[in-house]
Amino acid sequence: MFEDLPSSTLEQLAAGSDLIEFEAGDFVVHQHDEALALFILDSGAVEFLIRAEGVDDFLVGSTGGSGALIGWSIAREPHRYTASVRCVEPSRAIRIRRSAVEAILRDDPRSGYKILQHVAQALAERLEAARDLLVPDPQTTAPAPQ
Amino acid sequence: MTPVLDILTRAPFFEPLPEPDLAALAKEARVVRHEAGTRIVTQHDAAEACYVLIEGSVALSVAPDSGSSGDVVVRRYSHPGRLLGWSALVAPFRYRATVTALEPTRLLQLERGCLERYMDRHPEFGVALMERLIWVLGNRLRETRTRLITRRYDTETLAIRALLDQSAEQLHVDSALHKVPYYLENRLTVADAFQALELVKAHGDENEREIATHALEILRQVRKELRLYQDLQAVYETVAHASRELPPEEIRRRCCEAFIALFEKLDCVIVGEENLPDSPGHIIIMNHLVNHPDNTLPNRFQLTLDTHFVSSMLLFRKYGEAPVRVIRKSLRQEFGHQSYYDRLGNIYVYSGHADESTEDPGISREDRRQTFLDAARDTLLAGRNLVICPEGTSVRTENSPVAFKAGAFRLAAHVRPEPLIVPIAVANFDKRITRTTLAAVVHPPFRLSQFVPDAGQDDALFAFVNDCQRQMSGWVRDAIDLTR
Repeated sequence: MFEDLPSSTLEQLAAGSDLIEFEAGDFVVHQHDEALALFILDSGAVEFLIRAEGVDDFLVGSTGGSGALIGWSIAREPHRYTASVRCVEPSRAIRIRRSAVEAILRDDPRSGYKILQHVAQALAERLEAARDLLVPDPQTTAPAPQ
Repeated sequence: MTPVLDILTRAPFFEPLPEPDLAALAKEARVVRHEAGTRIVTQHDAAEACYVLIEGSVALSVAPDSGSSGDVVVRRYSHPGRLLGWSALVAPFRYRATVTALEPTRLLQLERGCLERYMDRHPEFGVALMERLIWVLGNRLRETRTRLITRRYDTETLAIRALLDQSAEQLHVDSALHKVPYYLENRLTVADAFQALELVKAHGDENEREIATHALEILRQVRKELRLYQDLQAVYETVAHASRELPPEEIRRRCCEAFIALFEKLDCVIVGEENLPDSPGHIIIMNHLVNHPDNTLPNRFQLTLDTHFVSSMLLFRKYGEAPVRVIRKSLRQEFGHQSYYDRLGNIYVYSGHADESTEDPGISREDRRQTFLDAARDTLLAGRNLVICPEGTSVRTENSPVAFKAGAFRLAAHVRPEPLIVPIAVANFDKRITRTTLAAVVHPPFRLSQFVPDAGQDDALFAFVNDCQRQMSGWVRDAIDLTR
């Protein structure tokens, strides 16, 4: 997904990254934990869960396949994950440390802008998927715009 | 500062960005106008511009995945400064929703090409703009997830807790927002929840304002219920603390008028009004529904909504005069009940608890029955309607009605000229009344003597009373169907 970045930036990112394997049921990140890393899924699938008082592991979305981005909270203060991410099957992901991304944003804003575009795109897709869960059958919903 | 730059610097999305950059963008932006009903952007179209709402209001709608025809409106926005069409900032640059003007609307339009060229020349601004976009989209994702929880659990308090929980890291520990779920727990402090939210919305920091605004949207229905509850409190005060000089007829009239104003705010279905007799002076029998606990007043009294509905929306409107009701004598601890009904001049009946009282041991059950029959007869002969719930108790719509007592029917036999009996079936008054449709159906009136020539024969009378109860049971089911 970062093919539009110059090779020097990719090398910088790679230096701050590692590859992690997960079993089905493993958590990639936990809601409220400090967002210290961005994950790019290489294989597998995950689901997003939120928990609040009286609400346990409420499913708010899922994603999967190579290139899926997890952990957009690295780019948004206060840098805390907003959902827990649990693998629904064995998965593998590249973990990129937030500090590596922040260094690029600071030192190479042109590449930083491109990275943030990818993060924003992942977030937009998550938002759209959550919104689609809300859209009821048109027979039972509010009237069209007057 | 130019007017366009002024709009940009006031828009929450752009506000934190460097002013020199905004000044440069302002030169490229233009104000566009859309008439009510026109589309500003269309879902799936190439996203060539984003917009800032200047004035007016818009609806966001999406086409359902199911392929059903027609868009579904997901949100409406009217706050000046709202960013619309942000898809022009994010690949694949296709609008993710349709935006339609709901009234004449002015927007500031920023072309995608212009933004991209500027960010290419000033990548630091590109980073700042993307961080801002991620901030806004993060807020909207939180809103959407909270709405999912609201819909799943159907309790706003839980949704507010979830909203605060998702925002925990961004909120100061002394934020007034933390109090809101606790205020919402008790009917008597719900108004304080809204006061806290309005204060934070007006004076909080950016994050608090955003959360308070969203919380107020989630709680829209709760606010409606609060107003209704305050209306119920006002009705109670109107009656229980009416001037001592006022006669019961006048207090009943004021009570009916207050209830009409209250019920007119709710969804309700009334059928069969043509079955009401031309003139009053008859016995109205109806099934009786338990009240939802949300309507309990601070003195633990519950205004019976179904009987007040029939009294006000049907009988008062038809005859211009409030009916008299037959009411169970208050229990000794029910001071709220007594304070209210004493003022309305209703007729009391004594259930077992009163007979066991030592207050007036000299009066027998038969004496009380005769006193009731005489008072009720006098009311009917004076040309007033009398509302009686023959069950002598209240239950949920699904179980209504339970067995009828014979008193209303004995009364009909006791009065000459014989009054009509007018049956009315009601449904859903036991639900949260802002979230249901209330129903009342008037059925054709009859005279007892048509079916029971000699009401002194208990067997015949009881058989008829039981038939009536079975008939009412079917009518209640029909009333429920009307609300679906």
